[in-house]
Amino acid sequence: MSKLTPLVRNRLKRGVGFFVGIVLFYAPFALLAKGIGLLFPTSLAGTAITDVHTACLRMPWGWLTMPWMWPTLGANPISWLPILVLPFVAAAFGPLFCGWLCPAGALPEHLSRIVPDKFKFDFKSSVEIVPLRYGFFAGFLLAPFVSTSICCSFCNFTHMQNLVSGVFGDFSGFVVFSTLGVMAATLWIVPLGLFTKGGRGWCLFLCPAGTVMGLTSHLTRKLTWGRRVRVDASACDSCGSCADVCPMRAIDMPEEEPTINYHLCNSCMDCVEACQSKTYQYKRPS
Amino acid sequence: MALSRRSTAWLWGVIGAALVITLGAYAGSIQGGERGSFVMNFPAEGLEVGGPSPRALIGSVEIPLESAGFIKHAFQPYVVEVASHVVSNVGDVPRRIRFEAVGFKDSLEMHSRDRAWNPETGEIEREIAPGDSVDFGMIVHLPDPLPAVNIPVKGTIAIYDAETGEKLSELPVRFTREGFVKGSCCE
Repeated sequence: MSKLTPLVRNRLKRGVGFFVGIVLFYAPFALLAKGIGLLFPTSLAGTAITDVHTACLRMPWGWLTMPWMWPTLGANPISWLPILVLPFVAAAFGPLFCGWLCPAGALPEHLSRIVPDKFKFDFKSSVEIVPLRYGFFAGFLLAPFVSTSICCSFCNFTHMQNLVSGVFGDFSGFVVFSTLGVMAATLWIVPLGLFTKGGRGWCLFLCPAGTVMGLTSHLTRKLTWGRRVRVDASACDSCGSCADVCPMRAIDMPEEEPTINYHLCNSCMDCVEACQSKTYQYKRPS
Repeated sequence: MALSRRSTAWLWGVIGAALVITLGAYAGSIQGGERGSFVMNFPAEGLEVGGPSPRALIGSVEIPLESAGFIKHAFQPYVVEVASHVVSNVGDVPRRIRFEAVGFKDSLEMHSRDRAWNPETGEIEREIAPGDSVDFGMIVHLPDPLPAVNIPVKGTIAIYDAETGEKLSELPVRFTREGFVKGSCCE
């Protein structure tokens, strides 16, 4: 390990987080949902096979537009848990879930390292990432009310669950496919993963959970108890390595001084470890 | 004319929202033909089977195969899932239930995410309390080629009391197409 650079060591640690995330959230393990099922044996987590869908909030959000589904909304309280817990975690620690524990976000990021950068598209140089991200999020919130819910097939958590289940010999997720499902899975891994600088194109634009945590992280960034990746611009030697390694394209270098966009930063710490002049630290505001 | 930074941000935001809503509209136009979705009550009869959902208006699940999206249509037109997140006990006593798919001529696999599901018998091997619900689905393999009629495949999903054998509920399922001879596969 001693020959590895701090950045590589950090990515290896995040690789461990990838597997911890699988054990916590995805079948056949899904330890978090199983634990909640033990506490509430008559809830969905207690009676049904648990996987990443047990905590799905997309379907309940869509069901808000269907009065006949309202009784079901209370039947699975775990589905409302992420919207309560994850923003709190983001306020206290930054979006650590995204950077360290979300396998669906990490998979395309890690896979993207096999494609040379010259073949990748860097959204930062072409679009306004933050407003586009919130626009997509607004679309997700509005879609059930004005057109239709973009539910399971357009969810990368579903596709990640299918992959994990397949690794453990359960191929039921691949038996029936849908047009949108194939489109979404391809988009998640190929153009927004392999061929996107940082490999986190899906996280940037199409993950509602990540957007909620990014918004929370930005709004609470000055709280005295809130830990974030912080910049000491006076230490910066303007080498640009931080901006280059950031998978969320969250670092800008206006006038050669780095700034972090907390709407996007997922606290992965790659910049902290890549910077040799110790410009970045993960800490409370000074 | 250059837009201000704020206007540009709003423009990108509107573009994002419009893209998702457009995608949602496309999803709405194809999903009904790729997956049959339903709500089912037991014990119930007739239009009460679908409860207050839109199913109550027609009393059956209809899957218009021609509205399937281009990928489904091209690569897997003859395998369709029909599933429900909500099969509810609307009675006043707890019941153990058994599912049966009746009338589908080709192969079919039933499934449920309930831990008490027995795939061999189609039974949920626990009592479902009044007001509680379970999920249920089935993967229907349609004949290739489809019969040249407007309703090439039809059948029903039936729920029985697993202890007494009493039929508690029944929901017709029809796979439909347009532009063919009026009538159904099974007449």
